[in-house]
Parts: sequence; C-alpha cells; structure tokens
Amino acid sequence: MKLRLLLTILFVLLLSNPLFALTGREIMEKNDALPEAKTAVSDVLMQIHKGERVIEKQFESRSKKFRNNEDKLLISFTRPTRIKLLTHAHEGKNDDQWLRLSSGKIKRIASSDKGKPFVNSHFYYEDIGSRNIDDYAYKLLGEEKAVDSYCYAVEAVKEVGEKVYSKLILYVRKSDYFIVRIDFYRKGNFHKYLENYDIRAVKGILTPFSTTMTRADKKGKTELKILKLEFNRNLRNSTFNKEALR
Amino acid sequence: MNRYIHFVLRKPIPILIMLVILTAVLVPGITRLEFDNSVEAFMPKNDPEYIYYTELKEIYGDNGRFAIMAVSGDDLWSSETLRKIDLFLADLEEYKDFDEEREASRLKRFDSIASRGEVRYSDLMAPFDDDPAFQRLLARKTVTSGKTDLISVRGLKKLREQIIRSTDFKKKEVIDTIISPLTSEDITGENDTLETYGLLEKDDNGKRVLPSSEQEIDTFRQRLERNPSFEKGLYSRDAQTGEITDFCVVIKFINLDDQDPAIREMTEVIDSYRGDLTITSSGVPVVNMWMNDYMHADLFKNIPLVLLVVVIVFYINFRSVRGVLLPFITLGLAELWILGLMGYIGYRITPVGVSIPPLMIAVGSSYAIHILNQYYADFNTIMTMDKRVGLYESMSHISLTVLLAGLTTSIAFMTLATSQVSAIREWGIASAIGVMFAVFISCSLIPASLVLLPRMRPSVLFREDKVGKTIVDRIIALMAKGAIIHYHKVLIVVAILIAVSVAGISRINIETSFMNYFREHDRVKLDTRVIGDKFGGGWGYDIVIDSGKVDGVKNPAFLVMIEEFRQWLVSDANPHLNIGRTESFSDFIKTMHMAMNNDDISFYRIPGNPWDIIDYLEIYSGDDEDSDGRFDEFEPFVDIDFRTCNLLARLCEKEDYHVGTTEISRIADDIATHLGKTLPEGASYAISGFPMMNVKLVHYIVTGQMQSLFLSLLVVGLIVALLFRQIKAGPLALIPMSVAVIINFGIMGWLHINLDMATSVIAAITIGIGVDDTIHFLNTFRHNRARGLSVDETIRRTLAVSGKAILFTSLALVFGFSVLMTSNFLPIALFGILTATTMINTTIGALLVLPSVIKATGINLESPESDSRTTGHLSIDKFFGMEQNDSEKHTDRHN
Repeated sequence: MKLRLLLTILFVLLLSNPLFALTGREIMEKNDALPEAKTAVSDVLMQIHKGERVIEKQFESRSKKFRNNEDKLLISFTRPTRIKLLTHAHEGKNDDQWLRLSSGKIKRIASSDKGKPFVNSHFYYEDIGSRNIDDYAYKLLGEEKAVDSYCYAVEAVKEVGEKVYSKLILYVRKSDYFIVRIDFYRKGNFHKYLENYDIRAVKGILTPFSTTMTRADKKGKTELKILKLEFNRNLRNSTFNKEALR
Repeated sequence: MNRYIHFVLRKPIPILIMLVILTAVLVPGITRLEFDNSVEAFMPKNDPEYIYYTELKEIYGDNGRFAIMAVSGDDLWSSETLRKIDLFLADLEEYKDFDEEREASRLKRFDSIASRGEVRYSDLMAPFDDDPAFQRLLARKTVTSGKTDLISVRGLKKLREQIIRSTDFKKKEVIDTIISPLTSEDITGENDTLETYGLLEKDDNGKRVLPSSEQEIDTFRQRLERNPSFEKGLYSRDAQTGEITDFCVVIKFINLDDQDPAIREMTEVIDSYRGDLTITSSGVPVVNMWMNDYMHADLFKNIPLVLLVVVIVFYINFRSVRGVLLPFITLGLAELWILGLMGYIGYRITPVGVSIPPLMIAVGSSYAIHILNQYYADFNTIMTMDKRVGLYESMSHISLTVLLAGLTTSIAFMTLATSQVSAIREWGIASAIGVMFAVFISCSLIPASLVLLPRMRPSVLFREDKVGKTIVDRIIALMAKGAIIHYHKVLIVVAILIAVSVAGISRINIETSFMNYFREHDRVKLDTRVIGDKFGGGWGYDIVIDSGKVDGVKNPAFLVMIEEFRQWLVSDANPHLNIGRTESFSDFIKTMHMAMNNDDISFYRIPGNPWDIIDYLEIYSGDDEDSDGRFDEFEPFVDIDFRTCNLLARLCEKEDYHVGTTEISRIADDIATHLGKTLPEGASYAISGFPMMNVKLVHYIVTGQMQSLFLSLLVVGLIVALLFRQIKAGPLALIPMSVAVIINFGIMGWLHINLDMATSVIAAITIGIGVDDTIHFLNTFRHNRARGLSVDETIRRTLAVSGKAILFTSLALVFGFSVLMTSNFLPIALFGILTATTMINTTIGALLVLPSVIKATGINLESPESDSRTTGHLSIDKFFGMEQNDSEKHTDRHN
C-alpha cells in the first residue's frame, strides 16, 4: 500500500505516461505510484486569512514511512503556541492522533473530532494525515482545467473509517498525475477546496511549496508555505512515539 | 376661509362626494399600518450610547434580545417527551438553516395538489408523509385559515400565501442560534481522549439520535449534569428535590431591527406544541410581542366603545340625529384619513403614535361641536333668513375660529418635525396633518350637510325658553359668576392648587416598568417570573471589559478577575443587583481545563498557566461560520483581538419589585462603581445592552413628550400673540393649558402615577384640546368685546356660546375616555384616567381661570397694539379675514 500525506509538504507524486481510457481508480493508482521520500523535514509558515485579518503560525513537520504501510507525522508548533500533533496513519482503519499541549498534557484526538478545525485553520484534523488509496471508491468524472493545468476530475468517496467528507473531487494533472486541486464536499454541499502551487521537483519528488485551503464561500483561507525542506534525512523511529511527546 | 364656506354652501353635493372619494382613497392605507416599539424607532442615530450599542451588536451579536423558554412534559425523562422536544426543535431549526431545494420542492408539490381544486385535509397531508416537518407547518397554518376537513380553493390560496411567508423567514435564516440540551455540545477529556461531542449523538444524515432505553436516557442526563455551566443555562432544577424539571430553549435572532414578525412566526411553532409540552416563554421579543398585542387589541377594542359613549353624550346634548351623526362622522373620517395616510407613507404606530387615534377623537369632536353649537345658537337668526345666507352668517365666523384653533395646534405639533427621534418626528407630522384633516372635514361636512338637511329646531338646551334652566347653562352661569364676581377667590384657589400640584410634581417618578403594565396574574408576568426563577432572567446587560491590550482576555489573571466579578454579581449578598445568571468567555476555558484534566470537576476553574489558555484556544473544536477569527460559540463573549470580554448578565427580579428603568440605571451605577474599584490598571469597562437602551428609549419618549409640550406651548403663545396682535394675548392663551398641565402632573405626583411611555403622551391631548378651548374662548371674547359690550357682559356672552360648546366637548370626551379606565392593560387605563382629567382641567382653565385672569388683569383684546414693533408688521389676523369677518358681523348685527 502506498500512503501519501496530504499536507502540502508531504505530497510525493510520480510522473507517468498517460494511458487511454483510464478509470478513476487507475488514475489514482498512477498518482499513488509517484516517487515519495522516506522521510521529510520541513519548516512551514501557516497564514490563516479570516476576514481582514491574517493570523500567522509556524511549525516544523517531520514525517517518516514505516513498515506495514504506516506513515507517521509529527507537527511541532514554534509560534504562537507550542502544541505538538502526532499522527499515526494506519492501513484499513482510522488514524491515531495525539495532541501535546505546552504544559506537557497529552490527549488523543477522538475520531469524531477529525472533522474539526486544526489550530483554528481551514484544515481539519482529517486533512492532517495520509490518504490511503484503498480507503476510497473512485469514479472518473471527466477532464477539467484546474490551477492552470489540464486534469482528470476523479470523484473519491471514502469507504473505510470515519467519513468526514461526503466526497472529494480530485483534480489529477494529466501531464504527471500530480494532484493540483481537491474539492471537499460535506453533507453533499461543496465545502472547501485545496490548491497546490509552486510545484517543484526536489530530488525527483514533486512538492508543492505553497498550498491553499479555501472555503467554498471564499470567506477565508489558510495558506501553507514551505520555508525549508529536506527529504530523506535520518529520523529516529522514537521521534514518532507517543511517549516521546512528553 | 369665508370664500371656502361660501363655496361649500353653494356646492354641498360635490363637497360631500369629494369627502367620500378622499375617504375611499385613504382608508385602504390602514391595512398597511404596522405597530413598532423597537428601539430603532426612538433612538437618534447620533446618540453616543446607541452608536456604541450598535457597534457592540456588530461585534458580539444581539445578546440582550432573545426568546427563552422553559420546556417540560409530563415526564421530562421519557423518550416520548424527548421525541416531542426534538420535533419542536426541528421545526425551529427550519428557520436557522435554509434549504432552498427542499422548500422549492415542497411548494411545487403543494401547488400540484392545490391545482386540483378543493381538497380534503387528509389528502393534502398524505403526499407529505415523507416530510413530517412540512406536514406540521401545514397543520399550523391550516389552523389559522380555518381547519375544516375540506379546504376550499380560497383556503388553499391563503395557505399558499402563508407557506411563502414562512419560506421568506426561512430564507432570511432569522434564527442565529438555538441553545438547548438536545442541540448543545460539550467537550470531554475522559480516558485521555479529547472529544467534542453532542449531548445527543447524530446519525450519518445529521439527525439527532434520541435516547430510548432507560440507560441511554440516563447517559444523556449524566452528560447534561457533568458540566456546571449547563445548570440554569440548559436546564433548571427543582429547588427542593434537586431534580431537573425543565429544559431551557433559547432562540437568538440574527441582527433584526424589528424582531416582532420573526417571534410571531416562532410563537406559532411554540403554540403548536403546547398540548404536548409545557412551554413557558419569555424574553424581550416575546414580552414586546404581547405588549404590542395588548396595546393593539385594547386600544382598538376600546376606541369604538369610547366613540359610542361620546355619541351618547352628543345625543344627550343635542337631542337630534344630526347632532350625533355630524360630529361622529367628522371625527370618524379624521381618524380614518390620518391612519390611512400613515399607512400609505409608511409611518408606524409607535408607543407615542398610539395617542393619534384618541387625539383625533378629541379634536374632531371639538371642532364639530363648536360648529354645530354655533349653528344651534344662531338657529333663530338663520330661520329668519335665506337658508344659505343664514348658514354663511353662522358658519363663516365659527369656521374661522376652528381654522385658527386647528392651525395653531397643527403648527405646534409640526415643530416636532425637527425632532431627531424618528417616532416623535413622525408623530408630530401625522398629528399636524390629522388636526388639519379634522378642521377640513368639520368645515366641509357640517355646512354642506346642514344646507342639504331640512331645518330642525334645536334641542332643549338651545331653546330660548329653556336657556338658563338646563344643567349645562347652570354650570356656565356658575363659571361666569365665579369669573366675574369671585375672580379673586378663583385665582387664589388656582394659586393654591398650582402650589399643591408643583409640590406633587416634585414627587413624580420618571420610570417605566414594562412588567407593571401587566396584571398581577397575567400570563406574561407569570411566565417572566418563572423564567427568572428557573434560568436567571429573560434579558440582560452587556458588560464590556477591555483588558487594554490585544490577547489580554487570554491572561489568567484577567479571567480570574472576570470570575470574581461574576460571583459578585450573582452573590446572595447582592440581591439588589437582580442578576440571575452570567455568561462569559471564561466558561469555555473552565470547561476545557476540566476536559484536559480528565473531567475532574476540581479543575473547573481558570488555569494558572497562560500557555494552557493559549493552547485551549488553539485546540478548541468549533466552527467559524463567518470567518472572523473567532469560533461561533465565542462570538457573544470576545472581540476578534481577544482584547475585550463581553459579560452577559441576565436581569431578573430577585427582590420583590419590578426592574423598571430607574432600577436598571441604579443597578448599572452599582456595577460601574464596583468595576471602578476593582478593575486592574489599564483595564476599562462599559455597560450597555438592551436594558440600557430601554432606559434611553423611555428617556427619549418622555423627554421628547415633555419637550414637545413646552415647545408647543411656546409656539401656541407666539401664534396667539400674532393673531391678536397683542403680546399679552400669548401668555394669556397659555393659562388654561398650563394650569391643566401643572394640575395633571401634580395629580400624577401625588397619586404615584409614573411619568412613563404611556402617561407622557397625555401632553399631546392637553395641547390639542387646550388650544382649541382657549382660541374659541379668546376669539369669541374678542368678537363680543368688539361689539362694545362691557368686560362682564363679554365674559357672560362668551361663556354662553363658546363655553357651552367647550363644555359639551369636554363632557363627551370625559365620559368617552373614562371608558378606558376599565381596560385590563394598565397603560391604557391610566391613559383614560389622565385624558379625562386633562379634559376637566382644560375646561376649567378655559371657562373659569381664563376669564378670571382677564377680569383681574383687565386685559383688553379688543384693539391691536398698533405701536407693537413685533406684531404691527405681522397682520396674520388679516390674512385669515378676522377683521373683515368681525366687521361684517358688526354690520350685519347692527342692521
């Protein structure tokens, strides 16, 4: 199983030759086959736009792929808070997430809270993690232009675990199968959308240096900008242990 | 004026047709009239406190005006009761989240059924079996359009209109928030897992999963009782047993200027559940709605009764059908015309505007009676001449006086058009126009009718052989005797009365206690008490505390200070503050702190570590629907910079008296004093909210009325001085009204009647009727004096003609308005008592005090002061043809 973290810094996609008459599933398999880093370390600037205000937060992100198709991600805020969020993405079941507060208290995030905003941003806890290709049923809707690219529009409906969104529409770039946009639907209504910009190949791994999650009504958005990125650095497994949060 | 009377007498039928046409044009406007007692109707837009209140509403929402309900059933914890509460909430929620597709489909299905013609109730309902919420709406609306098994095409059309009206409310999403145990969320940290959860879970379609088994219900109860902030917020307990007896349902509306239509729609929903659930409702929109209904029903139910009594007195006076019908039609038309015009031009009936219908009755009666009275007084002369000539002789003089009286009153009221308070401005314009309508109608209808009707002998009161023998004549004679012979004694008595009244005035309490308007066992009053007892009150202050710096609200020391302040507000040691419950941002922090400490109740407090608060705010799981940077739940309590904290303090009646405007101000002062002493350096506060606006509202109405009274008196004095071309005529004219006003306020002071929104509108009636009496007296006095009569004889003759008409009018209005005393709604009853008192006072002022002053001072109104620099150039009297009219009369009489 290939896992991929949705968070901007962790999108790792492989270029592949287009085929004729692809199904939604086949397109996503091609996307899933894009090269990925074993580990990733990055500094990210989060800019939350709400009304006229822009709230800035900054965090360091460390991720690592493990055996048994597990991905682990540790987000450590450096300002304005010192919260840490640890995510363990599992195959075929809900992810585990833990929060560590500045005071050292640790709490697990209940799966029912996955649809809640993460640090007051437009990302939800559900978005901070990986997306398992097999957790979804896919349907090719057609071809559309998104983020100035010709894309396949693929509908994805989650079939495994907590269902925060009723469906997603993934816009997969025809040229390289990289996802440039995702439309999120809740209770059947268009809820928000994610767009990837400034996509660069770093050590052969396609990486968007800027990602924006925007409300469907455009009343607010959150931008993530990669300030620093390093792939395949040696990260100890213990970094991602729950106990290490303390 | 004379030309107009001449025209009326020559062309009576076209005049009457014109009156009918104008009536037909104006009357439909009445259907557009709306009641409005909103703050916005009274607040000058530049009032600093109002501006601040409006700004607060923009930042924190409309927190002071909400509908609050205590909901219970036969067994609150039975699955059946919970199911009914759930349905009730589901019906309310339709006005919160609009689903355009669903509503369009509903209407389409309804139209398809309705297109088949009349339909059975059951056949209308059956196609909506899959949409019970809409079925319930149809059931509610069908009740109002007459629930019969067969619904006619007309009934279906009405029903469709009602559906569209409801859809419009839904489209506006008039409900901002519904707070209830079934819709609330809490946060828990049990088993090291942080989870935000609904007190009731939801299924995949977002529908609440109701507890059905005993165990599930028990779990629900435990969830409810777990968070201390829910007590009195989501439920209330029985003081003795400690058992939860009621759920609280709060409806907060979006920022609406006028909540009345929205609360009426909600009340329809509430009423439809009253059989199944016990619902006690209160809160500002609910109480306002009832007040509007009471005022509307009581005033408009009683006005026909007032008219009936007035008509009876007319009959007793004139003993003729025309003596009853002509004044009655005059005041009726004046009433219909002005109300119709107000409807057309979009003026609303405000608490000040309710005085317009009685004002029209007063001035309409007066003008008509004066004209009719003159006709009967001149009857014998008219009989000796050609009918038209005789009527012209009689009508031209009195019509001029009526015009002068009306114009003076109208100008006095029109001065209010400059008021910055829109309700008073509209009242001034409407009253001024209404008064002129009454003048126009009386000067048109009565002469036109009299020229067409056969000449009939006057009633016993006007027969020469009976003059001096009727009770009215005896009263007039008594007044004349008092003014001519005992004028010193009269003035001494008046001086004493004024002194006593002035002492009474100093005791007047300017206070409006809305709850005092309702009877002791009235449902509104009882329900408000219940809500106060159970949930700490149905309205409240916004106490805004500014920490002085951005993110200052996140400081533990600041939040601890807020907590201490809240405890002080509701402390048993401070019952005089009458604060039943407070809500603040600190509740969320305490709840989060408890959750982060495994739901240990001892952690239901403000954490000491500032990082905890910062983190709690980062991890708080809420929505930010309007994307302003605050979670929706925080919006009533903090600004976007987390610099200012808004504390909501609900007002109730802890001590056994009503929290009126004086109390509201006093409590605010006490709170201000406390905050002044306890706030840390750099912090500041402001007390606002709907109760404070209520104080302002009453202030503007009462002071507006009083200002209008004095301004009107000034204008009247000025106009009379110009009319009579004598400066001294001005103050002289003010005597009857001033005496009436002073005695009136004196009575209020001594009888502990508050000067409030209802009683202050009496000022308008005083002016309306006072000006009329005075000008009639003075003009007739001047007219008689010009004939070379002595002062005593002039007084005697003036009283005999004008005095009789004044007395007739007053008798009719005193008895008429006394009917209002039986009203169940206190402001209306007080209005009746005080209006009747005003009538008596102005009558005594005009018939006894005014001639006594003339006699005592020797004021001579006969010839203008030719040397007066002011009046010498302003010959208003000539403009109206007063001189010409008088000289014509002299010639005629001498001939």
